[in-house]
Amino acid sequence: MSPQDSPAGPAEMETTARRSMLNGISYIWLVPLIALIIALGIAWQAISSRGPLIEVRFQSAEGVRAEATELRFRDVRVGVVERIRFATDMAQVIVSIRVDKELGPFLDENAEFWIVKPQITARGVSGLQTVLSGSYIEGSWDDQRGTPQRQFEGLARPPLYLAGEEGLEIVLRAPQGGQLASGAPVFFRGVRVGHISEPGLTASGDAVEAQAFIMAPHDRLITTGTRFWDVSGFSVGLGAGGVSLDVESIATLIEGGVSFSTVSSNAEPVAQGAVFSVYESEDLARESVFAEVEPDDLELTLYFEGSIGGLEVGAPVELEGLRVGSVLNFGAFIDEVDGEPEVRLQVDISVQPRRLELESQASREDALEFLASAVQGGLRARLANQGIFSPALKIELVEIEDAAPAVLDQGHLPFPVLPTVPGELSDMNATAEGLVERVQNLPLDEVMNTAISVMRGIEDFVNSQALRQAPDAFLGLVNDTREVIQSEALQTLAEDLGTAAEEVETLVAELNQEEAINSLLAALARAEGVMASIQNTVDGLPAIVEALVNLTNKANDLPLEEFVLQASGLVETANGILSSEDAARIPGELTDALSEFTAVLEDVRQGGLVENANKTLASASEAADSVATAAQSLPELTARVDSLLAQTDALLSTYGARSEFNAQTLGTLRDLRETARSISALARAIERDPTVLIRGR
Amino acid sequence: MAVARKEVTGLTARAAGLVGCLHCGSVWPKDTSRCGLCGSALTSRRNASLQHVWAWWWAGAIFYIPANLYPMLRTSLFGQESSSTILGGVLELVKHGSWFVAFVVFFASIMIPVGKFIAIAYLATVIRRGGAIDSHSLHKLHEVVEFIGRWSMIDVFVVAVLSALVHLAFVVNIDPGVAAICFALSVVFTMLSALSFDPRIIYDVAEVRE
Repeated sequence: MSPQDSPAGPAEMETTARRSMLNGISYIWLVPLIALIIALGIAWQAISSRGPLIEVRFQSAEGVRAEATELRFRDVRVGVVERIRFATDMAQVIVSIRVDKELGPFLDENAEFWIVKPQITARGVSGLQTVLSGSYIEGSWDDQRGTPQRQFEGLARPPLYLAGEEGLEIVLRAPQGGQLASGAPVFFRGVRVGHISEPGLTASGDAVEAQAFIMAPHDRLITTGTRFWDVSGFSVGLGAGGVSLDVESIATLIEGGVSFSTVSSNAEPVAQGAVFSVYESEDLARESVFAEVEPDDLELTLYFEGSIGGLEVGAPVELEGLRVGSVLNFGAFIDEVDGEPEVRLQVDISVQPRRLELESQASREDALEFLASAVQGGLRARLANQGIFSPALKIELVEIEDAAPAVLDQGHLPFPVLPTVPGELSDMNATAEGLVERVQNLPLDEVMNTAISVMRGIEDFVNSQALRQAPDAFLGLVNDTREVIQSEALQTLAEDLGTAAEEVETLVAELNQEEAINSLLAALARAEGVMASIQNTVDGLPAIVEALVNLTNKANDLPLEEFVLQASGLVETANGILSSEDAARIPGELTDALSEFTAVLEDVRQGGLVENANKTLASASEAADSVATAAQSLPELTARVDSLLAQTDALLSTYGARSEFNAQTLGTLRDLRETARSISALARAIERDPTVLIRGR
Repeated sequence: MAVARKEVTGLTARAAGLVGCLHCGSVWPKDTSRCGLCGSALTSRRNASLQHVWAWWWAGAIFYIPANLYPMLRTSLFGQESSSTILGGVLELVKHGSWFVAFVVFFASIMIPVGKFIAIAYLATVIRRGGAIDSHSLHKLHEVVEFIGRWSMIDVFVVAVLSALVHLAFVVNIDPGVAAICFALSVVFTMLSALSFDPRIIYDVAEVRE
């Protein structure tokens, strides 16, 4: 199809053709001419509008398709991928991108390219549009026209910040990578002001570093006095202020993050790429300021005697509770004191002059001067515990008023020596000793006994087969009481007492024949009265018992409330009986009687009627023996009464504390117990030596 | 000449001193300039016929180049744009196994236009330079070219219909590319080229050979 090469045909034909052209019909040739112009125009437009073809090398071209994947700049399409091929070493993918013509001059060495893929992170979802439309390549470059470049290295992930974005790029260093997560936020007072790039190991491998970008205008917050700390997860602190739970944000729980604050006052702006450490907590970050030795810090040497166990490098040095420095190092050395080798402990500390009560611009010399005068005024260093329960030590600078005179040894090398005083540590020991002593002095035995008896009471109650069987228990008690009261011992006591009284009476009758013993007679009469009153008292007991039996019987049938009411009445009755003068005076009267008896016997002895008296005494001795026999059973009796009362007490105490009934009952019981105790004491005395009754000693 | 005339199956109008009207088919004396029936101009031979053929042919050929180089369709599926040329589309169809559709497209968009260019060029060349010709097959060829030329427009119709119907906003969008217009123009120009051809010249060439 090459029609142009029309060879020379017959002459006639040619002339015909030439004539046709000359005839002016050649206007038709305008059509292909115009067509040519249009086609050339289209071609020229297409070629001239074609931008430069750039090549970007990626490790992998995930989701990138030739003729389809777009290059975007600030989400505007500025190019399209033309072809994808492999580098000669097959290690990389070379993506050729046709870029819009007008952007060509901006693609200099600052340009960055990365592939945008859908990402779902703890902070949210990004690149969602690429789920449907597929990945695209995002480019970033600044507004400076540099030397155009055609070869670029693609980034594996989006850059920390877009080219042209203002801010400060710094390096964060942490001991563990867990504290730095790619894309994790950087907070200042809880506000997100930047983010972290992918962390990587340092060259030596002893720490983890990550680039961080602080967005303008927050970048001016970063100074040399800024400290970063980890806010990932949450921290629970237990301190003097109670329990504190710190959570920066829910997102940081998952992906971590760092926060920062300016903790040091002498702050200067930092340059791009400054390196900062990330501390584990805010407290550590703040304290780190003291651990760093700064050029104008003042170093001092302290000498201590005795143990410095618990002191660590970095331990705080405090002046009146305010931290002013830290311990640099310490060691022991042998010193010659009066020709004798002696171990001395040397502690080097550093003090920050501006933390002392000085101007902020204080120099070393100013600080030394201040310290020298302070030492004159009694400033001393001493060891102290960091906390009440902490074995860790700190150095305290304190003013001791009556301190032995000392000076700041400025001539000592390498550091001046600050005089010390023995630490506060012994105080703690002394306090502990005093405490122990006091504890030892406590009437523990008594307390224990009381406690045991209380426990026993409780045990009794608990063992009383539960509360609803209380009436039964009460009944048993009442029966016991009845048994006690009706026991032979008590009965015989009364009888014996009667017999004794009779015999005494007889004795008195015999003595009556002698005129000299009128007074004895009178005394015996009184003794008789006493005995009678005892009898009365003892006689009165069955009545109580009967009432108790009745009551108990009723209680067996009646509901507990009524039982309680009746018990209340009973107790009142019992109270009335027990509070009667007779009962209360038993011991007293007995004693009176006995003393009078003794007096009578004394008279008898002095009256020269010894023979008769001997006989009398023999009978009296017999009587006393009888009394003793009777009395021997008394301890048992009182013990039983006592235990009964204890049980009753325990039982009744369960019917509501502080109720009126309870109070009355308890009062009554207390009276009962006292009476019982008095009887017991008397019985014991009699038991110990029955003849005392007669001899009066 | 007499021998030649004998060989010719029939007498041409011109030789008979007549001129035929191409419009209504009536025959008039040789020098009649206007048809007495329908009033159209009468000419025994269109002398500029080959000029026209070649002019249209070139115009068609020129537009056929961008029609093949530039994309015919711009398809945007879920925001992702793709464009394909005619041949690219055919290859794509083949890749997807649509052999029949691929053949139809290839036939209508490549074979017919290219064949038409060759056929017209052949006709024009042969007629101009003379040489051994079979006037009967030349007439047949001309008829086929004229008949089949319009079917090339099938591509343009597909593009027009698709771009008119498939406008589903973000989901899928089809727009005609530059090539569609070029192709349409190319087809139109080749059709004009074929129409410009005056088949009666074939008779003259046959006579000349005689």
